Amino acid sequence: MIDDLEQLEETFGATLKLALHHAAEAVDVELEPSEEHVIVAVLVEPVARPPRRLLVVAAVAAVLLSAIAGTIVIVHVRRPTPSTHVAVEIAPGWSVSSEGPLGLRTGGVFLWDGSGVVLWGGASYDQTLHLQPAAADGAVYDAVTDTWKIIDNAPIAGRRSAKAVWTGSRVVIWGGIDDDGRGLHDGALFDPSSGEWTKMADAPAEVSAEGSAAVWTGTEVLVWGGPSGSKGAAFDPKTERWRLLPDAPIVSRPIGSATWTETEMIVWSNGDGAAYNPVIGKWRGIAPSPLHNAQPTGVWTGSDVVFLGGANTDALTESAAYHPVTDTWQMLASGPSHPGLGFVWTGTTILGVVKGVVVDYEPITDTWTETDAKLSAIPFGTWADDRYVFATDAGTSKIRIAFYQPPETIPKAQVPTYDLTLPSARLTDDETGIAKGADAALWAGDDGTYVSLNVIPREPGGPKGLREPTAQITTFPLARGKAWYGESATPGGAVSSVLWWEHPDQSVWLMNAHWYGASPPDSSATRREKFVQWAVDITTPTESSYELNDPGIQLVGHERAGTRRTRVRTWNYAGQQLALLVVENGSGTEFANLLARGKPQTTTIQSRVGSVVTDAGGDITVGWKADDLTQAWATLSIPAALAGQADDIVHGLRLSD
Amino acid sequence: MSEVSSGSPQIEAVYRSLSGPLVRLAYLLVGDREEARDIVQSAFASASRRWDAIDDPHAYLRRAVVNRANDSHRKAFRQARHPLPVARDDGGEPELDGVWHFVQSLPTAQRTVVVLRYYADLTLVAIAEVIDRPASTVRSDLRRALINLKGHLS
Repeated sequence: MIDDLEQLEETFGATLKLALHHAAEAVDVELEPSEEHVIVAVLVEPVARPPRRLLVVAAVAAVLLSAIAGTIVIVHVRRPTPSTHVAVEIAPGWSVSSEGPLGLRTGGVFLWDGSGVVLWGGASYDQTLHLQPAAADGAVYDAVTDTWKIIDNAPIAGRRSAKAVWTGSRVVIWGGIDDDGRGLHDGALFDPSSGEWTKMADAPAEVSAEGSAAVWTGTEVLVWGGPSGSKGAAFDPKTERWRLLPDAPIVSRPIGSATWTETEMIVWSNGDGAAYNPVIGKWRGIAPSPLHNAQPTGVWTGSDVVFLGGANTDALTESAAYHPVTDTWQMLASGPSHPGLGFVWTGTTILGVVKGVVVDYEPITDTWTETDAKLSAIPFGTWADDRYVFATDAGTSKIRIAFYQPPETIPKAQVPTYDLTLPSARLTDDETGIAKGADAALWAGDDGTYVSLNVIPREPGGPKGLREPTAQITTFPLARGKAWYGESATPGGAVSSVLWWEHPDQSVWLMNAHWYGASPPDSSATRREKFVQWAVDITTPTESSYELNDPGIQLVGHERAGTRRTRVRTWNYAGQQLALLVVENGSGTEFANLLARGKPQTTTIQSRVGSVVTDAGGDITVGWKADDLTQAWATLSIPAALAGQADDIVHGLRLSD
Repeated sequence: MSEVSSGSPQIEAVYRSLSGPLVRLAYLLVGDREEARDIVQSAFASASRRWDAIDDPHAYLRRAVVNRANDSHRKAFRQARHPLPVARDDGGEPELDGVWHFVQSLPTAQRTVVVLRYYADLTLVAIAEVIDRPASTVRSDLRRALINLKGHLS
């Protein structure tokens, strides 16, 4: 029968095959930037001149790359950058390291340690793309010298998908799966400077190696997630001991990422989540989310955790930001209707790659922008300084480290302005940042006390935008300068202490504490005494770090305030000074501590108001999440003499982009 | 600063090896170059989230591309009632171009089976696995497509 399938295939199969292959051959497959518009090979001008042998290595690599690309070599001199990456630039924005001693591997550790990359473990595919046994070796790439070093085999078996964190001096590698997909509970620490390995204790059996995620808190590795019934745990590299975390208020589940906010680990997936504070050792549930993505990627922006994508969605049309200080969610503007990859926080924006194009999400304006930058390669890796860092093999069997610096043409949000429409309100000062070079540090105590310290150099007269406490501390040691103290009740029953202190070196230190834990000192005198003692005890071992000599208080965060987008405006009105402080795009934790810890309380002063603090002298500070400036927090300090007009003043304040 | 291990460098090697063939496969399924590239990018993006659980990336990605192409194909019919994109006349082989145009006019299921059979060189059983339909249905779709082609050519 002529319509028998076998007969039909015999008759028409060859024609169809020819026609389809003919049609397919007409498709231009443009896949890699190196094939599209490259290729150049020139030496980078590094901050430190490379040794002669490096120039030779780089030149060889350049020739090799051009040979691979098979296209014309055009010389392009890359501008010097503050970074110390030494690599061969192959196209504008792109540079590639010398060839490494390994091939690309799947599921391997890939960590940026501040000056290079640590690679370990993972498995290769054979030519038919079948997975080979996982390796236990690795390599270290030094970006300063563009050199590679093989590292010794680890004291643990090779594996895929190990959790790895960089502690600042060592890599902690734990968990992962073996070749049969079974979870592993052992791990090891690797010191890239010495090349030495140390085997670490096995994690408790209740901790899941699969579906869990890890974060580094500055002192511990926190692991959480996995199948229902799994436990979270913390590993301290100093003591080399594990401790189980208390049960979270949500059922354990596989998670895409855990996010460290400098005070809490946020875990979230499938509609609900929780936050763990290792200082007080407690979990809290987080507000219900408008999102329902499974295992999304969480990106910490300094004030919010932005959750993007997920295992059950292919698009960025639904993303949301979680603000841990206020325990609130905010849906973000709809992004591209395609999945994205490689999301990183650059300090001002979130960059990712969608359909081979670098996209930019600007939190302040809540806008997505598709840039002109193409990144056909997939940037699985990390963000370091000002560029993506990821592994590639440039078409060969050997690994290279690729650096991609997006162009500086990505539009940035306009600088906001703030106007006070009150009659006779006159602008007297306006600046970005509390002060250049200002530092901030945050400590937390076991009793739940939070102490934040702001150091504002050479600003006699007090930090702008913050109230000056009125009671001078007569017991303050002369060598430490002069200090004033004040305190007030904050919404929710906590107490806020403020210490303003002029150091003999002319720096101004502002300390602020919120006592809201289980056992804060119960009298004002005790609080003041303790607070003053803290101020006296603070030491500065290095330029930008602070220590508080109280065993009950641990440093949980430190940053230069100048890096935050903090803006201050001051007006003179009716003979008094009004000071507005706006923290754009975050800096949430310390800032919120300046006002009130916990959820802001709605008051009668305007709908925009989040909290009102009144001090003993009758001065008030009004603080709110600035709805008229996306992702901004604001406080307005109003002297007691104008307290009766607070409604009008707050009402008359216009914040605009 | 802490850094957490992320991603799988090896996916890039697989991307390099397979994205070309997969873009061509997607193109044959949807008839549009840009759409084909989007489909392949999306397939890799989805695969990246579960990369370590994928034993056979080629099979996984081929299946993902076929599913996405079929969704895209059906959506084009449902939403916009767009006519199927007509392939560019790249010159040279009018008869082959005519057959290619015919393949584009086939219903989604028949077109998918034809492309997997004569471009990807899959057996009927393998095609059934890729599109998650019974082998008997695949056989039936292929037969109908070839009968249609027979009518077209005559």
